[in-house]
Amino acid sequence: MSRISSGQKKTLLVLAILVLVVGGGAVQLFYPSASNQGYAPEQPIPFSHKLHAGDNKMACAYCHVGIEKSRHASVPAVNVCMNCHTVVKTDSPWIQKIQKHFREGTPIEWVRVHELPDFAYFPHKRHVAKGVSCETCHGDVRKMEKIYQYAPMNMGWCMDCHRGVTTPKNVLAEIAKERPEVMDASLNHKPVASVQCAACHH
Amino acid sequence: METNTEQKNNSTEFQAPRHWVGVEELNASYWQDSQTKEKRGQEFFDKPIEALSNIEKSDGFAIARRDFLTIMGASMALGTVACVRRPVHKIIPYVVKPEEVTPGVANFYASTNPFTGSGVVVRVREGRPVKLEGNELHPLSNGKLMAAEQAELLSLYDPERLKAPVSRVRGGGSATTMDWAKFDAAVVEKLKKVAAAGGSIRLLTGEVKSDTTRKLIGEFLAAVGNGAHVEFEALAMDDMAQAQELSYGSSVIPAFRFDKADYVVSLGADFLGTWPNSVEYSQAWVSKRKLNGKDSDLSKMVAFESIMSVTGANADERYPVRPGDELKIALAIANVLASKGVSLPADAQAAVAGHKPEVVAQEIGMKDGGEKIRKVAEELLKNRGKSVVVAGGPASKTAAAVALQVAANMLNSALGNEGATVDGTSVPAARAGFSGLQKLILDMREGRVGALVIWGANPVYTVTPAAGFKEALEKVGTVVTVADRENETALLGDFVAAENHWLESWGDAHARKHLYSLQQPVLHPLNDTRSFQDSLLAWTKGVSGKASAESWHDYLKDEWKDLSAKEFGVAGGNFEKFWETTLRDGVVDTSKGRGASVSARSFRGNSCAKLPKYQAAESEGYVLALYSKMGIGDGRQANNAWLQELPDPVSTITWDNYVNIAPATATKLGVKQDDVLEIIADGVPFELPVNIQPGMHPQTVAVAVGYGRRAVGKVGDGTGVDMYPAVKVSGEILAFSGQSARLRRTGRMYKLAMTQWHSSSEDRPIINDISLAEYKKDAGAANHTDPHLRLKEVPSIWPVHDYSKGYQWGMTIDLNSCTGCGACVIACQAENNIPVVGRDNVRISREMHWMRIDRYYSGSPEQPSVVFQPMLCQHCENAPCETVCPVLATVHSEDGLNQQVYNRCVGTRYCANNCPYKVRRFNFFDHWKSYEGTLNMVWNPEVTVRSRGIMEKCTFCVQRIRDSRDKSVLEGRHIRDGELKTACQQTCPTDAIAFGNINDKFAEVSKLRSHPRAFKVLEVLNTQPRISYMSKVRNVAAPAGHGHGDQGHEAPAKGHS
Repeated sequence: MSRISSGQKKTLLVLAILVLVVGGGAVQLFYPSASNQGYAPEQPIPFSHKLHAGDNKMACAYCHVGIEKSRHASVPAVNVCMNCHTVVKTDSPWIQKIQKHFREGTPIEWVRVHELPDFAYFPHKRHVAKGVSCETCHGDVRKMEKIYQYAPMNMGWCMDCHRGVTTPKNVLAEIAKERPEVMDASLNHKPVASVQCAACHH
Repeated sequence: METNTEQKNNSTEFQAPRHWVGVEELNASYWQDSQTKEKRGQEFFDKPIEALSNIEKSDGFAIARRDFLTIMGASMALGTVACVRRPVHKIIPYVVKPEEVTPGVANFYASTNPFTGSGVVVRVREGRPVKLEGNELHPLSNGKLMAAEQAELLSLYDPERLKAPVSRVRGGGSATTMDWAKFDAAVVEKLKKVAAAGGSIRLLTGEVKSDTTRKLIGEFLAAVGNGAHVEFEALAMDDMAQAQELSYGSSVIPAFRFDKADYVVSLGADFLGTWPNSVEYSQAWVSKRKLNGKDSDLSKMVAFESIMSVTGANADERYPVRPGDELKIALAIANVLASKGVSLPADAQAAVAGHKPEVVAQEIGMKDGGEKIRKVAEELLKNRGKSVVVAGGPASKTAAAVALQVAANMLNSALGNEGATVDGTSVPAARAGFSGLQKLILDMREGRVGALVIWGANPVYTVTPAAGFKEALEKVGTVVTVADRENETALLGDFVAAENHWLESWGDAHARKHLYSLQQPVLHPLNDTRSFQDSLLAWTKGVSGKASAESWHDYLKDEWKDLSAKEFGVAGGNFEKFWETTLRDGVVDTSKGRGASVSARSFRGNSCAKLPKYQAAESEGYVLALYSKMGIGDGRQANNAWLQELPDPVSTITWDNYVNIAPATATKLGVKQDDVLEIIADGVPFELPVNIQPGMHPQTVAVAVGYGRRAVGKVGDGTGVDMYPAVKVSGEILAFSGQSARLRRTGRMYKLAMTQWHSSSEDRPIINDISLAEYKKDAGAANHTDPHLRLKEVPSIWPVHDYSKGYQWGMTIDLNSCTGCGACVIACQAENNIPVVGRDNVRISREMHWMRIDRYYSGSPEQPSVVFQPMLCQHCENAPCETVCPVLATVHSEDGLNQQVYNRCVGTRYCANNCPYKVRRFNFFDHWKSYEGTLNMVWNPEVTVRSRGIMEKCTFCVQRIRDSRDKSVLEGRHIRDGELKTACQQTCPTDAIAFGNINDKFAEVSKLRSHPRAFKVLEVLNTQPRISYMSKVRNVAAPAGHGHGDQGHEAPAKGHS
């Protein structure tokens, strides 16, 4: 059994500390938060939410069909794009790219913006049913030319809402119908939504 | 209780525990052994240091523990830096989303397992099956599914399935992967050549349960000309079918109505376990064993068997016999019946007269056996028309198996059970058997077979070499195998047509008269494979130039058009609607409303000429019994790791087969558990490790078939020992048992991966069982937890949870209904992403099953009684795990669940240490990493896949609770009782598990919890479990476990020195 000499051990330790300090500093410098807030990657097609949801006032659920019935809001299939783009703006090279995908039966690989860890289960349908608006978590998408992550989407942020700190007024009012004490601003009440671990982690 | 450590230490006062796990515990010396003391003193039977040294060894990498930690610290720091930004993930939506698919929402499709005929419902997520469940509309499945069928899901994703058709040069030559057009052309050319030369083409298949497939086979054979179809199953009950033919003139496997039988005699019949239709039979049998309401009557089962089967373990009385003795018992019963004036056929007289109960019992070695056999016969007589005698299965399939079946038929007919509890009229003809294969082998050997097409059969592996299939195969010009892998038979052929898994194919099944079911594909074939029927169609078309349909789907639909008009009276215009409805339901059952479908057939007395005269067997030497196991069966799913790791219900051994011998035999031979024995069965040698199995006849040695595959894949190849070569050809059947065997010690050892010893209740009583007589006197006696030990009013130092509002989940498990079959274990594994750990990890007690089934014996090792106890997280109100977790990774929820939070867990294992039920499982490794390729599709997307260093345990299927909650909230209502089922509860064939909201007084689970039989395990610890068990009640007169006077059970000997 080859033991590591104490000299080697010290070197390793020093190296580890050095890496921690330097690395940590670099992280702080370039990424002020470990959350992905503000993340706005390039997409294969520069889809504009501002144009579709803002200017043209399309409903979110037209494309994101899962929001009321599923855990996932879901990104639309190419055939949903083709509902309009068989006739609308067919001269655009981007639209032609979509049409090509459709013709050839190849899916568009969008870059995922909002992503919770695999051990967190977030159901869109429950939140939408309670009256939480899309903007609460996703920001004013109608003004976003390019989609970005609006909220920190870490657990503390989730819990703030579930404990009644940042809960939207309309949602609070809805809950207050059954539990009037939740309107108490001193927050001396039980959480307004589930704070059970297994509600999201299972 | 009677036992405690002080007593055990004192040899003169030694009293064995009432419920014991292995025969070792019955010996005073075991308890005095210093090794035992050390082992039993440990919380876990493995140690982390030991484990670390194992890793060191396996990696060939030596590093001291402290250095290891230092380096780990450094690498963690490095790792953290690298992981700040998570990798870029893609979202790949559909091009055209199918209308019925919503990402994140499961679809359920009904289908049928074409090999067993059972109705299944497949849970599909985004086009990917993730769970198999029973079809509630199917009368034979009733929403339940046995372990082996549920595990088909893993077989579907087996990465070692063939990816495309293969053509190979015989005699170990090269194999070439082809495309289907070239492959079909090559096959058709060969078939045409054979047909042109006037040669004969044979089609060898497994049992075909589909009339449509059979018709298609007929068309194929007509097209190629001069062909014939042979059906063969390794474990076919052709002995039963032959005897039915002799006795009643119809070659069938009857359906037994255990729901109408008050008295059941099993002669080696494992109808609750390995028999086909065991789901149906388990439900029917248990329907007479429920003691939930005010009923206080149970049916009674007496079993005579050579290997302890699931059925025998559930019998009220069980007598170990040698293979072959079952027939003697049957005739001895007939002898008593004849003396009581029951008229038996003249042809039976000579055989019956010689089988005096006392003589037979004396020979077998049953203490007071004559009296007991008389009693059985009297009870049968008392329950005329309401009893049943069943026999069959490999362990009783000796050379005289047909005679045994004839004897059973004679008894059933004489007792008026035929037509009442035995239904031989509403079942389809049984066609699979050895006799057809035997003729085929002869023809092949004589060179009369030009081409052989094989589907659903693997005779090179499953047929004993003595039958000469392999040699005969060499004489066949062209061999085409339709299989999902290059199995033992395919490797010796010319062409392998890569076959779909049945979940990828269309089909149908005709299980009973007027009961038809449809099989629909639930996913697009994963590989470039094709269903057997599509292959047949292609070859029919290739040979004859025309085919009756373009695809198997069209063929099936056309066929159903005719069927729907004839059988169901559906007019042509309504067919599409009928088809849609049937696809949705998966089954059409029009047997109801047609009047009584069962009628008694007349018994042909001359079949009794088969019955032998009494002749005593050797009283020395050993007799071999081969049997099949719940999971592995005949070995077709041997590459399925779920099934390999499923503990055998009785022996609790995983991953291997072994030789079962009686404790007395072990003493006589001087062998211990895990010693390797050489068995020479009629000259053929086998080497297997020993399992000391209580409740076996000292002359019987029993080994399971289905192991030791040579060409199935990484998991199954070389796992265990192939026992098919020990099978003997006897007339028109394969005799699995009854061969004489010689045993020899080898001096070697092989550690079997047995799970029962992995956790111990520290000798605290954990089982309640009672006799029916006692129960009738006082139902409360069923719960003999010492009232003084019930700490009801103990003040708690922890805040008490308020459950006044909302839900509070609870469960009951009925030990009287649980047959130990293991369906729940696989259901839990599939639902909760429980990884397979492999044999070595099971050996050091690191299996991951959240649900385990503990098996306890009571009574004497010669004739023990058995209790099965499913053990899972008890979701204690005062959970010992919660108070010790330093990071609050295990906490109580407001609906009473004990939650395990993976993302908080740091792996201290304190919780597992403090759990008195030992139900917590620790991920010592990233087990998911061993899942290759397509196997990764098996994960349930609703449950986190756990990584290394994480503790886990039963969650009460919290993802299902969330799902039901979501649904009920969106619909503005409460969760209805029975709407929400845990995976184990859903699949339990006997409904032993109830789950629900105990705040609801009217919920099933609440009623059961307040039943006098309900008790909680280790109540003395004041953990206040959320699971209540219901005591086991045996239909015996004497107190259960206390001597069993009328069963010959003796209390374990006291005062071993």
